[in-house]
Amino acid sequence: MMAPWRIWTRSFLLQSVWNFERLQNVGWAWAITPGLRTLIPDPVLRARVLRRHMDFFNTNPFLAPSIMGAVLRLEADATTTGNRDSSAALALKAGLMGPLAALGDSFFWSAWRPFCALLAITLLWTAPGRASEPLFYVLVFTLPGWWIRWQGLRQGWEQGPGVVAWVRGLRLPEWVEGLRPAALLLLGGLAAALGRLKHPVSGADMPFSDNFIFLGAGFGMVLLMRLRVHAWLVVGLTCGVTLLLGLLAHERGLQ
Amino acid sequence: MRISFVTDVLGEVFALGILAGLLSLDATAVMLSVFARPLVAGPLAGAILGNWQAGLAVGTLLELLSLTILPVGSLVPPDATLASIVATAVAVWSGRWGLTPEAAGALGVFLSAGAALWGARAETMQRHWMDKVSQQTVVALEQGDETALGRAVKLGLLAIVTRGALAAWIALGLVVMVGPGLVSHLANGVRLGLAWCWWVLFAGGLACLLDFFWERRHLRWSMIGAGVTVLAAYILRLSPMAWWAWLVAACIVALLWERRASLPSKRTQ
Repeated sequence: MMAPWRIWTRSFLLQSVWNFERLQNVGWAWAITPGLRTLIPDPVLRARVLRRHMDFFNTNPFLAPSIMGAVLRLEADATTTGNRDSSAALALKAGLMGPLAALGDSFFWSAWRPFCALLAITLLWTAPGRASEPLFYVLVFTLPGWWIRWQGLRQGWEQGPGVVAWVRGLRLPEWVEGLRPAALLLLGGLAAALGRLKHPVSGADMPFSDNFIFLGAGFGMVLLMRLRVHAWLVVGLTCGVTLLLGLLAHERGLQ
Repeated sequence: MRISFVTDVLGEVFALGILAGLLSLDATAVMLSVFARPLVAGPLAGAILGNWQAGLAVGTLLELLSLTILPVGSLVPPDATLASIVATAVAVWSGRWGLTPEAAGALGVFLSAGAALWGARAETMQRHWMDKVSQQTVVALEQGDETALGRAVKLGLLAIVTRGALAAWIALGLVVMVGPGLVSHLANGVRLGLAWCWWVLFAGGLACLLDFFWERRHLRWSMIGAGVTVLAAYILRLSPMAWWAWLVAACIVALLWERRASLPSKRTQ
């Protein structure tokens, strides 16, 4: 592929001109420009092709390079056959963006990111007072995403529409199925450790830690959320009650 | 006294605004790593204010509370980056105004909810403006001007940094104007309640995540996680790192076990 490094780095700016009308269209066209530049030397013809790529586009940013590679492969095929028709490339782009958005979003945003955050928070909880946990979070979350971006671009270019098989081979839904119980396990561990929790700045112990009051409050909140009361309303109401209890406790001289 | 406080924090507000602008880039436009997430943005803001631990504490709380908000489709989620910067600033400054770290952190998280919504509003306005940039780029390409794409991207990045910094300066300006008066008028009972709220917010964050991941057939893994912790931390009294290693090992087992069970060949059997 021509200029894969430049396309890969530009793919990071996919959402730089994110707009409500056509979402990632400008970032998409800008990212594939280095590839088109080598395929179509004539700037006027290239601008015309880029214009066709300025329609609505939206997908998961981590899987977008695989579509870029496949679309550039079809554009290259169109150039070598002398047929300057982008319709196959545009159809592929439109056909892939939805499914890959669903796959990527469910893996990266609803499973991988919460899992990485929980890993970092449990590390922070067990050994507080270090600055390395945020760095751990950044590295663990980011590196697989970078690898998928690079491999996706390469595989898209090599396989064209066959990149779908490569994406399927990543088995992202199966990883989501594994990550959800793993995150639940970490949550169980964190909940059980609530009694050992100390404030990271003051080093103060949790008040009433022997009485499991906060653990009980947590379970109460989960129950309300399961009854479809909005999560933030539940947390807000619990905090309101806690403030009132604080006022009462102070008035009665209990604390 | 208030004037001297304002002049004292002016440099900090300026630096926090720049940080907010730069981190806004990571939130949607550039890397999409987690630099803009509260767990990282909080300690960075705290480092600017000379207390990264306070930022880490507040960032952890906000991370737990905001993890379940997913940035999908055309949704503009509440601005967790701006929220963590404002919450850290409130937590550190309230500490200087006499609140305990727990009460200051909880106050920061409460006030940051408004900042998160304000940040989302500012981002929505910026994205509407980007509609026009996209339309103008289309017109330029129709006229054969390919360089319009590069200009649009640069303009987009500049708009994101400017929006992030301006939104932070406005939110922090409000905190600087209202904060000292608000804290000085807090009754002692409210201060006590705020300190308790810190722990309630932690439990609330865990509750949000448990609700998000809730699936009856997987709940046994929560029990296993709790069991591992009770065994390692309370009965065997292992060192923190040994306990964490136990937990991570159990976590990898859970991941591989359930992933294997969900593979297509297993499902069809």
